[in-house]
Amino acid sequence: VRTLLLVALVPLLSVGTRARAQADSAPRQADSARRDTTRAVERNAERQSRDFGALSDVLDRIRAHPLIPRLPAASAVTDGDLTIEAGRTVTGPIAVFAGTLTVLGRVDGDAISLGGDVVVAQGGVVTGNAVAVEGEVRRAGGTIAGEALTLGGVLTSEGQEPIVSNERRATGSSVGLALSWLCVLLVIGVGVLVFAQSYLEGVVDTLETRFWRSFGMGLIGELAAFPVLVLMIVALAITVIGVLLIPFAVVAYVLALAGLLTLGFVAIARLTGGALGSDAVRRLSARGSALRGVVIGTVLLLGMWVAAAALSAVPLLGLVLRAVAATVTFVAVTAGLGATILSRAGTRGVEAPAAKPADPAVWQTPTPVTGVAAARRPTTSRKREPV
Amino acid sequence: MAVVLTLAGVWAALNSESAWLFTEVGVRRVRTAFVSSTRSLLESAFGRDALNAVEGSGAAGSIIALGIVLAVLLIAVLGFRVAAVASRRRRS
Repeated sequence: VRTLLLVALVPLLSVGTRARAQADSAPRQADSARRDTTRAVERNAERQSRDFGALSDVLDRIRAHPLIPRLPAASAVTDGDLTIEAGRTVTGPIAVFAGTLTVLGRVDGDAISLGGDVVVAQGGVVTGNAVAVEGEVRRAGGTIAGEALTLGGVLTSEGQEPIVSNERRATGSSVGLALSWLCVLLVIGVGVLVFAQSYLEGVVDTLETRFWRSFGMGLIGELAAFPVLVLMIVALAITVIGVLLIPFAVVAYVLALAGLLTLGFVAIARLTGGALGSDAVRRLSARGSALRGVVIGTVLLLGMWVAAAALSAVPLLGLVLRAVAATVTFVAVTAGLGATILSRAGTRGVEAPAAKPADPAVWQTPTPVTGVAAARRPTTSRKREPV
Repeated sequence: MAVVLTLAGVWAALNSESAWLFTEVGVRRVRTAFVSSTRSLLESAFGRDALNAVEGSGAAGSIIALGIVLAVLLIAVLGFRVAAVASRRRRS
């Protein structure tokens, strides 16, 4: 009876504890929200007081910079946010201080924000340059005829060289990044050809003969990659020794997955490159043909990224090219991963086609050399039906 | 045995609220991490400008963008399938 009473007490205690915790947590949440708001207000106030206090100095410093376009007089700089409404045209240069300059209409000249962002929204036009000092230039569907220029380190750190970034520089770095990936994948492709050509051919065979299944398996593999990792960690966490092995297992898993993805990508590059070209390619050796396929395929697949990076400053074409490159790369990686899984990283080849039935006349071939057993006539086990 | 079970029950009841809060916070953090990682993945694949343009164009723009991506995906899959057949013919 005493036990039953105690057990019955448990839900009551639980309800009581929960109510107490809820009562405790409500003021805690309110405190937290109040703290967040206060912090944000303090941050804004600090930024504004710092920026407003140094307006003339900042203008002098910025004017001295060779990349900065002509600035308006300090009295013509708007404090805080400013929006150029749709349908309105203003003559630039137009500048705001410690705020966001939003362009929905048209600015004939430069649009500048000192300590804030320049947002050129849908339908907005800036015929000159868009410049954000300690901020960001956001082209949200609008048009900037000149350059989008971002400067950092002007307002925040005294005496330091400003960090300048513009679209031309960003384009250059994107092209450099894409070219670097191209080179790295070419080197990896050649390495795979030299050290693991048989595995690569196994994956390519699987892609050629079971493409749809490879693509489906790739999708499943990509979706299952993270859950499998979690399951592996949970399974290892059950035992004491397993817990110690978790970091190594995670690293090994990630490396194995990266290896499978790379092998699949090289295989699909080999397949793509191998499908192109004239019949003169047939005269190449097997390794030469494979090398040619890998190089052409990798250049084709990564070339899209290089083109997208080079044209990233062109408003619509850059976006479309990048979307196409991302989608094609996703398909390539997915199909390659699926083929790699299906072929067990190329170790399991495609099943050989079924052997043809033996020619019934083969048994009649005369035995040419003494001592070799003659062929037997094939007999059927089927019983003759009674007449 | 009964005493042990009872004590365990009382202990669990006293700590159930903190476990509940931990779970709630954990779920919220996982959800936030999932959303932000998906966004950063899409951003790194398609670019921030593309995402901003899609977000700014509303539901119709999102549907059109999704349709374009699916069409390109289909064309890419079929293209690789054609390449696979051509490569097989060339090697056989």
